[in-house]
Amino acid sequence: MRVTDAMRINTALQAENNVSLQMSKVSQMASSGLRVSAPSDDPAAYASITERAAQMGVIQGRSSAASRAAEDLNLAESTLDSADNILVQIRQIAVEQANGTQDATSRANASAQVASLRQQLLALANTQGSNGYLFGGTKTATPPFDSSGVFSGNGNLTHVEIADGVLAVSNASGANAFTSAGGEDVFADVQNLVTALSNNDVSGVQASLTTLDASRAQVDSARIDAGLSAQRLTAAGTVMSSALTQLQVAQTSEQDADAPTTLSNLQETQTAFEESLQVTKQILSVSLATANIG
Amino acid sequence: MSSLSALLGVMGESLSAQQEALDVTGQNVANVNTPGYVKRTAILESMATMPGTDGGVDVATIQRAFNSFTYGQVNEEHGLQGAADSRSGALAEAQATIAPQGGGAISDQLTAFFSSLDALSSNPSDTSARSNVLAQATQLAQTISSTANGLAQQQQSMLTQAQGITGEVNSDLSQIARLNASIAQAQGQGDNAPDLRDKRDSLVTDVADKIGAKVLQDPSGSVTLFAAGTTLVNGSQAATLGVTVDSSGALKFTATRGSGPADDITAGVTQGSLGGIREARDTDIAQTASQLDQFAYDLANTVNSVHKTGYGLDGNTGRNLFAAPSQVAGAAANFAVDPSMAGHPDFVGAAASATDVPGGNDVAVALSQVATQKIGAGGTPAQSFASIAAQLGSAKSAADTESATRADTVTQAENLNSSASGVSLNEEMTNLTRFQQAFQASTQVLQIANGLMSTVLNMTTPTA
Repeated sequence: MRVTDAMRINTALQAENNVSLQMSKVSQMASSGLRVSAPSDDPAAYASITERAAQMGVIQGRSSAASRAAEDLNLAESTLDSADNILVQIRQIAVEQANGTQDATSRANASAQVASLRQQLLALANTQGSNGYLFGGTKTATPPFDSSGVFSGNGNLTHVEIADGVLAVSNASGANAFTSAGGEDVFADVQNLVTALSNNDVSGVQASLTTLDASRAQVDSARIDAGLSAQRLTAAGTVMSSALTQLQVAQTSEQDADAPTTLSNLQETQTAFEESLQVTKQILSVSLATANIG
Repeated sequence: MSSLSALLGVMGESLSAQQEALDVTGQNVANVNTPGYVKRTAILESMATMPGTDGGVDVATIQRAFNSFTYGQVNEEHGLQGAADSRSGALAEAQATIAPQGGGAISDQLTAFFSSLDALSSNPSDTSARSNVLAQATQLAQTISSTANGLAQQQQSMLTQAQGITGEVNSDLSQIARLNASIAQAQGQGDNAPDLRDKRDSLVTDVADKIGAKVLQDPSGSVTLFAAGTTLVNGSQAATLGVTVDSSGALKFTATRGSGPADDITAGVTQGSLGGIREARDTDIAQTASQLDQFAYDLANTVNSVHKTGYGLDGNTGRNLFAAPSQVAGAAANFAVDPSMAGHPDFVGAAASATDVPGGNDVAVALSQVATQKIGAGGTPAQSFASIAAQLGSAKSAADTESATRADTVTQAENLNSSASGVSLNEEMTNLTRFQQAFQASTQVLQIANGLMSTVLNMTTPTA
């Protein structure tokens, strides 16, 4: 086969072009640190990286919603715990004043004390969390209890998604804790005690011991519910965080270029490029036109 | 019977023959880098200088080392390479539109949008969370519509590009037709017209790059050029190509011959850069654009169907979050937040009933659940988008591989053609020495013959 100058040049240029192309790919990989930076680099991997990124976004979104709800539920739990303590104090006062030895003055004083505790209870029931009033159900913008203890909120629940299609309760029910929806109207019960004490009505005071016990049990049960909901969200948060870590590991291994391999590839292609230049130079220098014959 | 004067005559012929051969060698050397130049060879033949003698030399012809087979291969490969290169280039641009490397792709905006809904579900009464939902929805809508517009603009610029290339092809075709006529005329007068042939054959390869080309050599010296399934040059007649868009928006190629009708040759345009542009524009990018429309249509409808059940802070319901698309076609380009929602974060429907306002988050949760639900006939929003991008990526990857392969096969075809028709400097340097030596030897013989002649003349001249 005849070998022409154009053939030698073409072949050298083509070889050099192939090495340059390879070098540009490897350099891009080395500088970006990414094995897949465009869909055409690896279409299947690009699709799975995109889907995984979306999955990670979903989990991050759910996780932050769950942790925020858990904070509010923890606040609700501790608020209900304080309410329970106040009810314990009120019950102690009722027990003391149910005794026949107490006189009208003592009961009048106790009445004022219980009325003040009732105000504290009201303030607790109107506690605000990160998303408005904690115990108003979905009526989070206005105080759920007015000064007379009348409830203007609702018992509706809010939820957060903790796994695909799995919803967890994200608020504590003020209706169940403090109103007759849970069985006892706590503020009415306490108000009855205040009235009985101020009227020096011993049998009334004795009667309110039963309702106060029921109220305490009701607030306590709501506190436990809030605590359980918070725990469920915290546990879900832990699961999500470990899932996220796993996804991140998978994402990194699929998306990122392996640094040592990339570097050695880069060196290889650089060497190949230099060699190709040398060979081209050598090929082009061999010619009768430039040879010094004779 | 030989004579000294015959020898002088033979040497005279030899000098001019060697000189012509040297000229041809010089021409070859001068054109070693000229694209399309076909090596010439001076074919020497012995000739009789007078009756009964021989031994003279003459340049019988200047042969052009043209090989129609290897030349045809070169054109074939150029046609395929042109298509692969232009498709790969166009898809690189489309891919950068769909999946920009710096981030900000539709998939990123989807994640940001659904995250804003998660934040809203944590705090449905918060105006800043609501504003953020609207802001992310707007950002997502803009990204989807600018992606669709980017693809449409690329299709538009590819039409302009195709029109430009078609203009170049038309100019090439008419030059080829003119050269055909000149070559046929020269050949009729006994001139092989190698320079004109080089020029024409080089133009044919240009046409092959742009639309593919196959040529049939005619005994008259002219060629018939076939491309896109039709005859583009026949003798001195060239067709005129035209490109427009048809009713579906796809490229429509026509060929007009003389005053005849414009024939639709679209289906035949598969080679050369025009073939590559057509495939990338009307198959790959068109498919991506229609998939994007379907994605936008499904996304807007799915989100809207959930959002319509939600109640805004004003207690009203039944609102669309995204402008409801009237049809699939154009859904991506027209993707936008519903105009009635603009500037009204309180209209975002997070609660499931009027009594749930403002703290109810059931619909906000349901909206964020769209991220993990199938939309339309496809997968989740992220899966649907990833599949669109991956399909385009596969097409781009295939085009890249094809382009790299064609670069090699073109080199191979050109090498084979060059082996048959190209200039080898080594060969020319050898010829140079060969003809130089023959020339020098001829002058020596001439000198000796001249000396002998002088001796003879001196012998016969009477002394004074």
